[in-house]
Amino acid sequence: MEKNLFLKSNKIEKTTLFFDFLALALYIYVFFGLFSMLALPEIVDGRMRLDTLQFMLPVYKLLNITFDKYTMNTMITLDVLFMLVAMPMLVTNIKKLKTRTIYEIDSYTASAKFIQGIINLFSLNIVSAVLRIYNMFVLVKFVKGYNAKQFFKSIIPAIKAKFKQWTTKKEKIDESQLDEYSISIKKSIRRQTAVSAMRILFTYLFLIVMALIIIIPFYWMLITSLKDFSGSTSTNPAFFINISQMNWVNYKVVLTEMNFGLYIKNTVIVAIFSTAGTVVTTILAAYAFARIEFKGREVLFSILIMTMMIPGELYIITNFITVSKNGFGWVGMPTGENNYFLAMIIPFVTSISYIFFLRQNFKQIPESLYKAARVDGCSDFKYLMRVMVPIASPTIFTITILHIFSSWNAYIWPRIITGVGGLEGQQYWLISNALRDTAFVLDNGRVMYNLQIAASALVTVPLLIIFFMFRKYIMNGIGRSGTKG
Amino acid sequence: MELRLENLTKIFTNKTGIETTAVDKLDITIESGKLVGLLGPSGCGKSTTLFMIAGLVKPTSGKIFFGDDDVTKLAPEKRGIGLVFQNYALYPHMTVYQNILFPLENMDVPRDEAITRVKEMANLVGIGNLLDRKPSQLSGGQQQRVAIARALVKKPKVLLLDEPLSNLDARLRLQMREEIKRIQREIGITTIFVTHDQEEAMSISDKMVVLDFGKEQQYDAPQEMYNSPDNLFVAKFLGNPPINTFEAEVKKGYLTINDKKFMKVDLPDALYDIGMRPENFRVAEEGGFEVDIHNIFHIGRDTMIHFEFNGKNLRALVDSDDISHGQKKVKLTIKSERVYIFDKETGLVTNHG
Repeated sequence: MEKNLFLKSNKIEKTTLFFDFLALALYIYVFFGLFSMLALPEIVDGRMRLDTLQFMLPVYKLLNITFDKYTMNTMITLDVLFMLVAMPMLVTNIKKLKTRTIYEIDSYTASAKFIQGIINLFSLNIVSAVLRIYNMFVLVKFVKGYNAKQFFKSIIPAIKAKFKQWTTKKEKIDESQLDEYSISIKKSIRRQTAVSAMRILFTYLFLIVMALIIIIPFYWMLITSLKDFSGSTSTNPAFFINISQMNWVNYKVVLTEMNFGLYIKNTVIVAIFSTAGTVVTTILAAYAFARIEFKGREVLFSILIMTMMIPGELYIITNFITVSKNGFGWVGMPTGENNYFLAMIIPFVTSISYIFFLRQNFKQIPESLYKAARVDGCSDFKYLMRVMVPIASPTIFTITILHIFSSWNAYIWPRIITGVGGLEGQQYWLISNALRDTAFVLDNGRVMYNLQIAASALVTVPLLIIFFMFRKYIMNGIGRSGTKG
Repeated sequence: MELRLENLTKIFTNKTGIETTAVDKLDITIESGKLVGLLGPSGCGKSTTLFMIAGLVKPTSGKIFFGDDDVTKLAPEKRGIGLVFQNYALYPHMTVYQNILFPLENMDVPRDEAITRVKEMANLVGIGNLLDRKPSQLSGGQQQRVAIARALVKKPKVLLLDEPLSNLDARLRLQMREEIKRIQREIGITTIFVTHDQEEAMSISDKMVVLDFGKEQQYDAPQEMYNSPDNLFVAKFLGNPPINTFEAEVKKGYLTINDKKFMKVDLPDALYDIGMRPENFRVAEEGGFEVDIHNIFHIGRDTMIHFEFNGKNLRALVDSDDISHGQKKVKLTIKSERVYIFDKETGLVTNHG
């Protein structure tokens, strides 16, 4: 009987998740639909009239209803908020459904379902809301054995009891009747409670302050990217803006004005090839330094480590000479004879710090595995590929992600390389260069910071997604490289 | 297959050029199909010997023969050996099935045959139902079985076990000991078993080699070695509780203790090391030598007595019925063939075979 209720609840949950997914897809569809409807400034002489952007008053028409841009902004913002709520809810609920066992169900699970149902209601997902609230009743029946009527009847007494518990004072013990020892114990318990309460308070205060320090710049970026031009350049910038004032059109302008596709393509090419190169060289070098015994291994490794102490900016010039006319001749040649990608990729296909990091990881793999593999007739290379790499795969994965991050963020080197090429070089800009050097300027020469920031927000989004998906590995890598040197 | 070590020596040299002799001129012949225990204290070179047989460590000098073939310079994978490690050395990212299959993959055994062999071997060691688990989901005993299966699946000519039981708890150790013996009997494979646990070695081996500082001390069947140790080291190393040792003089053909003639011996007059095993003492009604009891420990069937004798604290293990609680004195006897007399200089036994 009880088990049946649990299974029933799970079944309902699965159906709910399906509707959640449908709703999410609908939100996304609506977002793109509305976004594509947004009106852009007109193009005069091949240039978009950015000056008119904030003074435009377009009228939109959807299903025979006409509305102005403020209503449009409100709709898009609400839609985005729904997406932001629905996505994590879907993901965490899927995870929970997979791992949940019959022993973990308690009244909190039921109340969580209730709260989720209310959230669904607010995000206009009526089907999921109804299903969730029904599921709550099933869970209440499972946990407490109440049916709906009994449940409603039990609410008020439960609240009363809770209230009574809070209001009744504890009995005071007459301390004069106790001996010294119990008094001292009572005192120290009181002190302990006070200290631990203070500790928790200060820990959370500290964490909140730190989190705010991290979050505020992000928030500022998002809020500025949605302001209009006068709002973004105001000397008294608003910290909160009305949702009807959120100009999603900024993003559309940026996407149309900037050749995002090209720059993203360039960045992805550079990121993929330099990451692949780095992973290959790192694995081979780390294996050599961790397992193969050869003369001068320690000396060579020390020299490599020493190069980590030279700041990267110092060898920009030598690297440049290497790739330019006097070296490989990848850049600085006449138009058409340059190879910008090689110049951007090759100097970064190896990383001493990752070699060091992976070598430490390889060293922790027991020597006996190597011996066992040797006896089993496994060659060094096969051992590396079949045993070492799979075991160290979390680390290798971390290295991959960190390196993708750094190629995505690279600015100085690609700027120098593409800068030499003039107009031709501009075709090879990476996203970071494009961000800096595509100017969103008004006719009077003022920079439109809201657009500029919208562009950088667009660049940050993929990184944020990667970060949230793989944060376990990233923190793992950073944390370990921190403690192990 | 017979396995023969000839003058096998391994010298390690560290960075400062200091040489350590890990294995010193080992000459051992291991008969086909026997289980031989390689026993010694930590750092006596038993694992080095094993790894030299496996081919993982190159000997400084000497030769290793498998049958009539000199395999000293042969690569490990060509020797046809199976090796089981103390920490099992299972590949943590592979399932049990993949672990056992791994050596066969390297040998290019046809797929179908490989699969049947893996299943056969898994059933033999009793893990047939665990094939799709990862090593981390297995208990220590099960992991050990997987390691043995992986070593045996290649159909090796020699099975080498490097302290295979020392990571297991006491109960499991007993069980796995019998299990290893059973598997070894069933396949009839020549096996070398390295351990520092003398009880383990004695219970499992057909023959034992005791090593100390890389030197062979004795090579014999376990009970033979226990009853007639070649030297003081072997006598001290085997047996729990350990053998009692003290110094005594031989005067005019008699072993003299406390100025009393203890027994007649055919040895020149000198100072000797005497060894008496605690369990060889008997409580006597008449005769024997009377000793003061310091402590009595009742340990079930037997009773352990601590007493002072010839200025040393000795132990005797006697029948519980022969000793009453709180007894202060007791008369003990020991058979003369159970008294071991060792040369003070060489440590060699003087009154045994």
